[in-house]
Amino acid sequence: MRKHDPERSASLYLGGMVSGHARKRFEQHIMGCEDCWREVEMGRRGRALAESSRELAPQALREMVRSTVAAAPLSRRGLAFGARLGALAASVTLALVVVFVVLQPSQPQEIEILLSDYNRAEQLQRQTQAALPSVLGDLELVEVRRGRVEDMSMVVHEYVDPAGHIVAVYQSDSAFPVARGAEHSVSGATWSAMLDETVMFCADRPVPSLVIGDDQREVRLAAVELGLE
Amino acid sequence: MRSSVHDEFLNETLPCLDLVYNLARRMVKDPYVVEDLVQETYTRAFEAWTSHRKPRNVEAWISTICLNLARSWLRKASTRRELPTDEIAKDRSSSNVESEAFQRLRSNLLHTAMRELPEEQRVAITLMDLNGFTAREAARIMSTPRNTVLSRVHRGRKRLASLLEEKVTIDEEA
Repeated sequence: MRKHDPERSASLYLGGMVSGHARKRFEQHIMGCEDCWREVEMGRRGRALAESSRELAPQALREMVRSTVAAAPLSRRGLAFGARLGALAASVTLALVVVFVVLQPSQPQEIEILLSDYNRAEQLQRQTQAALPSVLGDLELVEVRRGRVEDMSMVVHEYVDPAGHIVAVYQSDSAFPVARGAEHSVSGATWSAMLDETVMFCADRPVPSLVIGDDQREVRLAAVELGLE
Repeated sequence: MRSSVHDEFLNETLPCLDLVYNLARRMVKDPYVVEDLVQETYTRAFEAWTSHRKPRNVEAWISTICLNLARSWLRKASTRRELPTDEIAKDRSSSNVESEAFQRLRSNLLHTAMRELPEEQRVAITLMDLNGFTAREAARIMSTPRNTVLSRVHRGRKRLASLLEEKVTIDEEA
């Protein structure tokens, strides 16, 4: 059983990380625990103070920003890159539409749960030590969590790129089920799939790994950096 | 000349100006540096907007740019002395209505108390309490685990509440 830690409990409670039955239980607990009550009370008071210190940007600054941006030149290289990326995105979208129309897939339970975890970080809750590099190309490690998904024990390393795209690397001690609609590589050792604009790449070696992201380039980058291809 | 790219960028990012301004204000003291920081954030953001992919979460993305620039400025500033400035005198000089004076005093006390928080607590509070990011979003912006952000926010809130109590007590005794 976890040691009684009023500060930690209050920070999780006020941070909205405790829900349902656990939330009700904690609310009952603070009615009789002076330390937890004080922690929650101080946290709420500080939050109200911080919120009341919010300011509006001066109108003059707004105008300055507007004119600075209006005078900024466009990047030609960026436009060319954007055009190439646009063409790639269009072909990927077309492939996705074909896959959905033809196959109408429903996913294995583990895949559904992992997609939900990727979008809301709700399934794997426990923080743990990182086992993968803190940097993969332009991806930076921001969070490592562990937990169970059905019968699989799982660790996820979440990375973020400079534009805020998230890439999550799920690793387990047993092989991941294959997503419906997935395409296998020629060797058959890996598969990839695209579901609701989310890209998945899976390999069984060197460690059963499933990489999920919303940017195909970053998912491939993570897979290559981790030696999954 | 302004193009549709400029317009698209401004339409998407100008609503984040208050958010960027609040973040910059909590990172640096000098109001002139705050203005520079905000403008530089928008200049860098526009460069990135036209050179890379469009960000998934504009608010989080532009906050990250601002935070990185502010940290870089603070690193350089640590080797030189920041000029003291009278923010109240600069920002507001016309009104002498009593309630406004009280609000000003309270706001100044709050701002001073915020400045006394350790940087990481101040940033976490600014992102979550002032700018409305979730713990997960704040964790990504700060490149820090979510539980660490929650712990920093909680300790910062407690410290802010106590600092303000101390300041009010001192003012009342004086």
